[in-house]
Amino acid sequence: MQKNEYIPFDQLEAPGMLYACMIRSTAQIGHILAIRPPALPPGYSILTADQLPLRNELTINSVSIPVFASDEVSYEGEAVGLVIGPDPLLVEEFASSTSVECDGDTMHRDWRAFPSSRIAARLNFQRGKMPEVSQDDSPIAFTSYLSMEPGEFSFNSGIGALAEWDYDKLKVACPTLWPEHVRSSLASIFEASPSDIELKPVLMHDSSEFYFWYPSLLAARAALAAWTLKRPVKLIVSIKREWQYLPRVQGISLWFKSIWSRKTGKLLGIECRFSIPTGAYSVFADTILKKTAYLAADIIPGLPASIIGFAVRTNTVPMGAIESPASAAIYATLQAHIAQAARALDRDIFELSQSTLSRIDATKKAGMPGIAEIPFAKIAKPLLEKTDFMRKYSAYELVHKRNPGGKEAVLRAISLSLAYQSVSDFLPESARKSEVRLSLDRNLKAHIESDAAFASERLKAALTTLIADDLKIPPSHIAFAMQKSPHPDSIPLMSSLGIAMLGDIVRRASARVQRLRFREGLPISAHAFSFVRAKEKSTHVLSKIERPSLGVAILEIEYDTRSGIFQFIRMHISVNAGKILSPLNARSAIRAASVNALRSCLVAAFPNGADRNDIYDHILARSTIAIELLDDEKSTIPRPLGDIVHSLVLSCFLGIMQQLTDTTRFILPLRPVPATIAGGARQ
Amino acid sequence: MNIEFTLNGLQHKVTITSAERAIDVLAKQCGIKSLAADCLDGHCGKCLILLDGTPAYSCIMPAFLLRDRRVETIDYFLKSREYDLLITELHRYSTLSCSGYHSAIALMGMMLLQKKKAPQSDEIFDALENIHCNCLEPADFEAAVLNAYQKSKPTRKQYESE
Amino acid sequence: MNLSEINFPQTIPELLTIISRENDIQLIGGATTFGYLQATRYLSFSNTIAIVSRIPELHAIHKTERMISYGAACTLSELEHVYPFEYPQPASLLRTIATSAVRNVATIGGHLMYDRSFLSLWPLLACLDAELEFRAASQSHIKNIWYLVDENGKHCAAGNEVLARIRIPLLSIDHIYIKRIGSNIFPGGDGAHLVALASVDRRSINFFRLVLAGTRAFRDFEAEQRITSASIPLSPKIAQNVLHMYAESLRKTNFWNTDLILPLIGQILEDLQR
Repeated sequence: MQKNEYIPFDQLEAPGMLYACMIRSTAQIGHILAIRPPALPPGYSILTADQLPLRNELTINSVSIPVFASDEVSYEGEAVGLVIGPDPLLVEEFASSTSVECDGDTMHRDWRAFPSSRIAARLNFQRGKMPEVSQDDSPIAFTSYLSMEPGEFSFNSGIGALAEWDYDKLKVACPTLWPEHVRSSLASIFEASPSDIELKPVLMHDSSEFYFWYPSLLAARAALAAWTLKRPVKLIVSIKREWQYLPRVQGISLWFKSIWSRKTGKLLGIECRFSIPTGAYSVFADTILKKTAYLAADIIPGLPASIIGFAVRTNTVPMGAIESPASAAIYATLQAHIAQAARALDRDIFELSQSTLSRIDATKKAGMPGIAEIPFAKIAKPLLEKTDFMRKYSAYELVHKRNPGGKEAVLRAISLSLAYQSVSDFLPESARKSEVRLSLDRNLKAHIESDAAFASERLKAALTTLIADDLKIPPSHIAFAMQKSPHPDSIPLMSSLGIAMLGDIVRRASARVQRLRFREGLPISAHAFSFVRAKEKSTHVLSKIERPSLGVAILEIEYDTRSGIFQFIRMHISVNAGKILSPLNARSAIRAASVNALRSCLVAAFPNGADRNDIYDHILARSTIAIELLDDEKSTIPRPLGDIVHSLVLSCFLGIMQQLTDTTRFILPLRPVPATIAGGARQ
Repeated sequence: MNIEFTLNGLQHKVTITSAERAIDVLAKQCGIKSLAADCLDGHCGKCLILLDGTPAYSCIMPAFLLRDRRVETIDYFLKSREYDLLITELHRYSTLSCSGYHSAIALMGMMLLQKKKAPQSDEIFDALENIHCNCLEPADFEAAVLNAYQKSKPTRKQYESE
Repeated sequence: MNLSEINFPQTIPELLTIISRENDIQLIGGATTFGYLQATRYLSFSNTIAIVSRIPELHAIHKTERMISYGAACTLSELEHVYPFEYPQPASLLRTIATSAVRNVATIGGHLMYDRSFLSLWPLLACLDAELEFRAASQSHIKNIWYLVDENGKHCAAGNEVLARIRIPLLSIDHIYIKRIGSNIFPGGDGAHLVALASVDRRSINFFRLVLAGTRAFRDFEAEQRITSASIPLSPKIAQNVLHMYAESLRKTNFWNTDLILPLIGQILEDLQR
């Protein structure tokens, strides 16, 4: 299969195909009393859960989700069925005018204050003992609160699924970055073997986590409809109508305290409590809790830390992003506290950041070298000079000190953040393996069998460059194909660790082919794989990529105190992520992540939302984000980038907010402050 | 009702209702595959067309507004030399790395290349603002367009003299 | 799905004839709001629609020595290089309304007649004492732009009249202040614009207007009169006096957040003191 054969999902068709659109319960939750469609012309039908003879259940990381809500609607907008017919626009029209009546249970939306009955998962991380006051040194403590609303995913590859039965074989096409989960879910629902499920790759434009587990649910719905109607069914999603009912990037509510030594200026320990909403079905709740906690705990190894986290079930659409700004919240707040401490203890902000975040790890992990001093200076110093950070920082600080609360109409602020992405394997429980079969034929055409056939065009282009360089063949001679015998534990292709592992095994396979081709002649093939053991922390590949990715960012803004609007935004980011498969693509990916992270801080979640500040569409389009990728000559494989950008952007933003308003209470995304209309006045 | 309009240089006559959006008529009745109705909000830019030479969002436009207008999509420019020059420059700066927006980015680029004078920064950023591709660096797009414009100048002069 | 009868009148008299014939009719310019606001794939309009954007008379821009007038069907892009958008701040305001793909289709008539709130250009044109020319069956009426504001400051419909032209007296503007505040303006957030214009002749302010418009519109005629004819730089006493007048009139509306708006008005008056 040639790589250029993949076409976008919205152009996929099958003979005799029908279209399906989801019927959602948008007004109420609770026990379903009635589903009332409009009068349907011939050729149009409704499919609901009670018509399904097979399992109405999808399992994601041990959490069960109904394919269609059957007795009870658990969240606003949950799908209760499908309208199916030949015209996609009419199908959409009928679906939107179908009403669903429920008995109107109370909707729980709040995840900041919650009873224990709504706790889906909890984490209690305790390390060491908090410092006590001594005669020599009375510590100084800072506390702050951060609340980030759930946000939207960005996605470009289309949403939906096309399913077709060929006797007892199911063919499915849907944009997904976790093809193995789609296969195994469908196999489970239909009590079939995964080899009876043929999954066809579609053209993927991006690596958004939106394509994580949600495509499996859509594929299940399409497959059930196709099975019932005995015709191919293409499930389409009306983004405009259904946007707010699609999975979200989780938010966070975080209380954070850091304790510092007045005498030495060192961080002595951290305490925090946080909660994240997981929606109605707590997919990956444990994973997200751990990720949020360890992102901070790991970067201050050995220091006392008390981190308690809760995943809270709400009657809202399910969440589920493993790599997101909210996961970086504890880390980012720690950075904001470093800036606060630098001011209070009269220390150089960069020196304090570096010394706090570069501690030597006293506990060596088996099979891995101990983490020594992290060389932030090498990556940060050129950026500090280029942006004239220290001079501006001191000058702006002076202005803020002279005029606290901003008598000045326009305030400027500049902040710095450092981040490192250490080895972490926050993956779904079952996802353990990544493998590749690479073959080179006599015509010097390379054929790669891997789940990378489902990857984004950007990742495929980077892997193509890697193979072309290694094998010395033209990129046009390289084609991706699906694995003939897919491994049940394949790693999803949107996790940065998964991408790094894939890069490593592709490199190993191509190196092996290159070594053997002249010795053994063509055609030749090589198989490479990586396996992450469930219980162990260190593995062959993790040890290779354990040198952390480093990032430094500087954010400079101009803030109109009267309107509460950031008028000018300039960001500089430097990243050292090992061997970059494609610098141009990496730069684009970092830019996209930066814009998304900035939007999470600045712009309310929903389009058409009442308090959405659309002025930022214009401002962000004209903002500068300068990205530098630093070459690590010693590295042979890419390292996970993952949260670096989110950590950097969120940290910088909190630092800026602190400078501007002296606040310790961060509510994001920013609401325009204050409102033009007096409280209590009606519009 | 029936309406007529020019699409990619050819006259089209279609039957429409008041309810249809321009993008749906262009896709279903005129066979245009380069547009996507992702947001239906005039936000993402994947539905961009040139309406009498200027950008417009076909996803929020009722189809009846196409009547007697000149519509161009990227398909119109695919065989032109300027298009090849533009794509080469865009690839050089990897501004096409986010492939979901290829058509829209290229269309905005082609619109700028049609100008008699070299496009100014403001015009370029204005065109780019129509597309909400987060990974596209505006400075790279500007450089790509200006380079392509420079390289296409000999062709333009030749056409003008003819 | 609601299907409408579509009309493409070529002249204003033809349009008026259609209006007089139909009870339930909607006039469509660029239609940029409908496609945005309606969540369904199929669009719904009134039983009859008339497309005004192709009537030549409604597209023309006329300029005389004293006045400029735009046809109501002029797109926002077509206004980019005409008064008052030759000034940098109004030009910038125009660009922030929406992207160029929307501005190329959205009409100034539709922009001003949008009835959920006063959109971005409204307060600017109100400061310029813009007039609206309406055409009815047998005559035309010219009304001040405040005709669209009811006694509560809200936008009110213009009835069965057709907005044909927008007329703006030409002024030499010396001070322009435009401030965007609040959240989104379209389709209906609490966002607003505060616009103030002043022109100076022989060391005295011969023209001063200050308009605040978003979900409602606000203006204090007496405060404006107090400043007009005052000498420039404005004396602190007059500035203080005027600020008090605005404070009182804003509070009387029982609507606007005076804590946000008064300092902005103070800033405007401070600029006139320099």
